[in-house]
Amino acid sequence: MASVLPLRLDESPFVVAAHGLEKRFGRQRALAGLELQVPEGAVYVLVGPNGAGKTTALKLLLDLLPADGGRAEVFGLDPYRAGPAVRARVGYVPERHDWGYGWMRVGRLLRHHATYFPAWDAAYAERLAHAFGIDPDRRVGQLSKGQARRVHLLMAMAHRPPLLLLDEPTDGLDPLARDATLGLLAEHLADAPTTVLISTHLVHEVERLADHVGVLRDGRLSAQLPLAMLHCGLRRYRADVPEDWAGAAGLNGAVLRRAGLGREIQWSVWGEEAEVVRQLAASGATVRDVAPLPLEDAVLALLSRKE
Amino acid sequence: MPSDTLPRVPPLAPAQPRLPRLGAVAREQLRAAGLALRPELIGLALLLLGFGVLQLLSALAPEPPLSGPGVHARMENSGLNFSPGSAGLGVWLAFLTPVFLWRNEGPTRRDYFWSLPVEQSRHALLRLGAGWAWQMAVIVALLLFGLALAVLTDGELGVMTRGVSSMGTSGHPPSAVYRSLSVPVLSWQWVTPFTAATIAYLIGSVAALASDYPLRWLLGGTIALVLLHTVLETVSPLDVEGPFDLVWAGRFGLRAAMNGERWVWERLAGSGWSLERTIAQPDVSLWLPAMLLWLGAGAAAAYLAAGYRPGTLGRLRRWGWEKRAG
Repeated sequence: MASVLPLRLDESPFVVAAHGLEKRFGRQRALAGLELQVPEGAVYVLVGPNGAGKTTALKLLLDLLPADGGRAEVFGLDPYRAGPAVRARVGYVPERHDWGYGWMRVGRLLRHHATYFPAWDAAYAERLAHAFGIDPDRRVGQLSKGQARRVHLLMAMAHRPPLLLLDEPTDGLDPLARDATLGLLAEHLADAPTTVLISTHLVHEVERLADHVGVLRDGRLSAQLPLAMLHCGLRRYRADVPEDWAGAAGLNGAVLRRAGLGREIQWSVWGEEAEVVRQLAASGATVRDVAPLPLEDAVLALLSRKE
Repeated sequence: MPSDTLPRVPPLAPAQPRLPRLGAVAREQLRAAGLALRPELIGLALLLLGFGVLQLLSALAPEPPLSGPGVHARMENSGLNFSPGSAGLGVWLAFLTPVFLWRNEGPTRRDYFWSLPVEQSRHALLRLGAGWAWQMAVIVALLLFGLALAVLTDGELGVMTRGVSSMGTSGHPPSAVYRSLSVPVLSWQWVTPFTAATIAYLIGSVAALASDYPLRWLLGGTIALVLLHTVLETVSPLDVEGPFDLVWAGRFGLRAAMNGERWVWERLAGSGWSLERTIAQPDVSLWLPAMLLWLGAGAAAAYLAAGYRPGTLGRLRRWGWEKRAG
């Protein structure tokens, strides 16, 4: 049965596209031929464990780092050749919390940032500052992680860019702040059609916003698909198996994750439900239950998959 | 965070992306550089204030009697003279200004600066220019401060004391010979504080733009040069030119580029007395080529450093690869 996870999206145009993007840091390979496709208007969540290359990928899209190979396109522009034009269209929240000028006061940093974005919406910035509870008189270097993160989100959103690149946007936020922040982000997306690329390993936090997911492992994508397709194609099957059960040979490669206790075994399997059930039944297992996986479990299954 | 209680902003389409005008960026960089340098500027102002008060108090105090050989170097006029040397502190500080300007923004920590929608090396050059403008303002302020002090302490304007490296006397030279230490400032010398500070600023900028640890490079480079000079002098004390002269004391050395002074030996004699000394002699033909050389080399190095980013070699490789691929 088909075990190949989707790696290419059919929906174009793509606001972000990476073709075989490569990046090395010394001997360590951070990106190994990344093929990323973010459709226009999508909220694309790039998930992966620490060190998978998420932050590097985002930096390459902004030309904050030079690529060692491959090619990236943002709005059809090569960030390497048209960096300013790309960055003018992007609101970026970095992974680092000490971003900006620590010696500046928040209000001054916002004015500084606004100079670079002629489309800066001062009224919207003020509203966001109020909503985020940002104190303009604090020094940037004295902000807590959560406060700094809110300032970064404001800086990314207040010029209403058509693309948001958010690197761990909820990192450092307490649950209340996280909820409010994601609410504001949802509101922002509703107000202005924006494409969003979120990099995170806390996928459950952004699940309500996401409509596409890419799973990054060891510098390359192991899956890239719309969320609806993921929910449809990846399911958890619970079945009882007889003693000395030899396994379901037909499922080889489609099983992403397996857990078992006694004679009851759970599989997370990628494939058409009827076909999987048929394969399990043919192997002697009695399928008790089939259920879609929550996004976090689905991602966990995708990340657990052995190549 | 009561976002639901706030008035809604009417829905808007994403803003049409526009690039910032370079003039606006340059003005903002000028303001930001001023803010970044504010602690150092305040410190300098306080230092000058203290120095000025001490000088005024000293000028108001009664003069001790002038007599004996111990007062050779003392000038007849006890006031502070106004000369290009009044901005000397600013010239030396110019080596450090870029370090303060790019504080916590070494090449591996410059993400915010680079994430802004301006071509990155041009952006760095704008910041460099903004810092330079502040540096020149500091030189002007120091000269004005020197002028004010000269006026208040009854010093001479446009007169400078030549450096004297050694002095040998026999007999009792008349006090008039010491007056020759005070000489009028040549017109080209008024430019030297600005060019010297610019050269120092460019050298500091190269270190600050290209390294996360510019102070180590600046101090380490100086210490290495002095050590090398000491070692070479010990090994061959006769006439060692070597790197020290190349960088500092030679015809095209930094000292010539900064103040255009050459050390000249001279012997003065009269009836029953003689005096030998080496004295700093300003020479425009020494200063101009050395200054232009250092200014040009500094500007070129700073331009290259402004374009430097970690991974620059990777970029060059990629550029070569693309060129080969057509």
